[in-house]
Amino acid sequence: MVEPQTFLSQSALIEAGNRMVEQVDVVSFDLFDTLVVRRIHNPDLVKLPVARYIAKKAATVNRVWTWNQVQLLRDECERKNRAQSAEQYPDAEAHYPTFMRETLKQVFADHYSEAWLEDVTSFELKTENTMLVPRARLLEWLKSLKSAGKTILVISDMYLPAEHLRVLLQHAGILKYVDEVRSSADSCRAKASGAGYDLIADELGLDRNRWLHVGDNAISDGFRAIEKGLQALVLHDSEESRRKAIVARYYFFSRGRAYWKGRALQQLMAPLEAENVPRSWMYQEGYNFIGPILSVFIQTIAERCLQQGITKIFFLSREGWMFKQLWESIAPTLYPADELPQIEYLYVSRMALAGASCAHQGLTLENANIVFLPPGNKDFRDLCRIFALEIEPLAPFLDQYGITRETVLSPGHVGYSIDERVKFNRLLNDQDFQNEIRQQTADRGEALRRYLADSGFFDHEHVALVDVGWLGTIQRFFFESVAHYDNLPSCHGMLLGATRGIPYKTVPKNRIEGLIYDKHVFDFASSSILFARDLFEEACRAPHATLNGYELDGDTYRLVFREMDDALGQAEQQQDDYFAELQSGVLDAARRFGPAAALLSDPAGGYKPWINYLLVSKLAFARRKEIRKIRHLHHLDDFHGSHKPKKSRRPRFVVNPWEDQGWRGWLGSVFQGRLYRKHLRSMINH
Amino acid sequence: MDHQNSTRDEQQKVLTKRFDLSGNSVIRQLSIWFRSKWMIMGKMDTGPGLRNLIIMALLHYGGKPLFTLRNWWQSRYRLRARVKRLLGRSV
Repeated sequence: MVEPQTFLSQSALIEAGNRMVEQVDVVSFDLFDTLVVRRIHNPDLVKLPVARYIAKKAATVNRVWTWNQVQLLRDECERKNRAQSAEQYPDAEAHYPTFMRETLKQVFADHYSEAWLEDVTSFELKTENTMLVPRARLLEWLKSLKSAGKTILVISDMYLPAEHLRVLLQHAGILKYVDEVRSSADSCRAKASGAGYDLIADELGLDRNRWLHVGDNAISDGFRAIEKGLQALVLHDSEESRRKAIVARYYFFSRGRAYWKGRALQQLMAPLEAENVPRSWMYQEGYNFIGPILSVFIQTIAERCLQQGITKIFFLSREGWMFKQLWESIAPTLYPADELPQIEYLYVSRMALAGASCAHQGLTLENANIVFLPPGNKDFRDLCRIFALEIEPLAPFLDQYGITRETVLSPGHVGYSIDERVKFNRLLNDQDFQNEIRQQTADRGEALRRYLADSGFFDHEHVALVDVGWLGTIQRFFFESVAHYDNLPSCHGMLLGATRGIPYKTVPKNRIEGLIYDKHVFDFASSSILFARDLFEEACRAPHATLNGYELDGDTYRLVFREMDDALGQAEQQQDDYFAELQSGVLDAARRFGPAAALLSDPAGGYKPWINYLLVSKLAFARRKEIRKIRHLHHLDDFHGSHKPKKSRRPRFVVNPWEDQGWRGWLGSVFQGRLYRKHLRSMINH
Repeated sequence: MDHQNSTRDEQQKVLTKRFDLSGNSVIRQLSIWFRSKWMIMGKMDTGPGLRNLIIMALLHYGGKPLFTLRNWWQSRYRLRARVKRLLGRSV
């Protein structure tokens, strides 16, 4: 018997195929592992998200099934279906609609209708689509064969009928080049026995001598085809075998050690074949570093919302712009059967909310202290700038307490005196001073209330406020602006990192939590995020101007944005352009995260060891080249003033290279271990 | 700034030809693993495990010749034995 030609690479097979092409009119291709490959090594793993989906849907009609039970039932129904086929036909093939209908009838019992089958079939095909990738070189060859006038067939031994295979081919962009799609599920005559070739040849009237078949299985695509008089080429691609072995190892390790869960996830997220084109450094870092971290953050938010009955998520500007897009990519894929909360992008900023926070409570000592945290803020003028206060009406109060607008109130500046600060603290206790502040900021508070009412903020019992972090100042000002309203919902603050530099006033209706890093959770590795906070802010920041405040506009309100035509605005736009590719990489990673995480079905906490590894290796032990690559050009913050603080008495020679690009930063990148130990000491001491 | 622009222009695939992640290879994991043996790195669960890291390094860096040889062997010898068993004849 003639042996089929076997090739270890696509290019070798195509070369041999091109030599035979003149002698054939028809070229048929196997589908799975030939024309398309799966991202996962084991095709049966694609069935698991479907079992979870069915179990969740069954729960909606009060049918209690675990996903494992559903999967076992499906396997049993498929086995019976195959056994029945074997009694009448040469091949023991299963037919998806038949065995899935039987499965669903048992799961849903009296609640079963054909709509459930359609729904589940649609979900299964959608899940398959996310895992399938067309093989670039074979697809190119198929196109050239088609343009040369050959008849192209796709033949698969598969439980999905041809109608479903067409959906998969359509999604992969192959269907338009294919003349006929055949599946063994429709006829129970497969390539495995050779009966499938006979059936197709008879039905389509094909000349077997002028028919070439290409597939990956040496028996059914090779020997059986030759036995039936066809010519056959078998692809036994060593690089594809290697890729699958690598995925299989990562998957296997991830079941034993939590560290590998995230790595396995990233392997499944990785682009393959034609998707994997050369990209810039920025894009790669977005895809392989920032993207997975932010995606896990989004998954954690989704878990918290479902657990805590949160019905609306407000993504706070400007980082919320990125988080909202990530949510839209990830959450529907990861939780297809759950009722997800509504989402909204909320325009806020520390500068805009600071003023509004004084409308009811006045100016508190704690909030005044927040202003003097950044070293650039120094005196009462900075306080007025941040809380949007007019200084002239307040001048008589300053005179009354013996301080001036230039009096240094921040301990980080030359001229600071504790006596002057005590005078200022007494001023804050003056009720007339506080009434003047309330009067000045009343319009801002009312405008904010109208904006929130318009956004549906007061229509929910539990809402999430999602922001990048770090002190939680935005949520602090936000909550203080609305705390006095009766219909106030519980505000669950979810931050990427919570440094808690100032103790946060946690009350039942107002709390914050850092989901990747939280100072209240002892976790050295995740604290590495503090090495490059600005990187995450700039990677997530929306390409629009920051909000300056809320203003009343007749019966409604108006959002006032910062003008972008000054030097700072221009610098921000330059930064937007610089990080555009990084943001594009993050968004592309998120599109792959959903299907990959749905397949692995690990909770977000399972990926934490890998996320911690990413933070340590890419931030605390970043290479000099990487820091140069992805460090931001500009980072603007109107909250920080422009005053220069007094110099530290003790000179520092080794500093964080993410913050200093000079020789001190260079030393920091050389002595990374020393810098990291210093960081750990500060984490323990503070 | 000039240097930043020059590094930006370098193009690479997100998944390298070794099927590893660009910018975060298995070698980098090994280096962090070694560092973690003499200094505190923080919570990474049980870590990767040296044996697992070596296996992955072998697959990523030595996988190409290994799998070429394996697939050639399978198609040359193992397949023949399988055909003989399944179809009851030799080729």
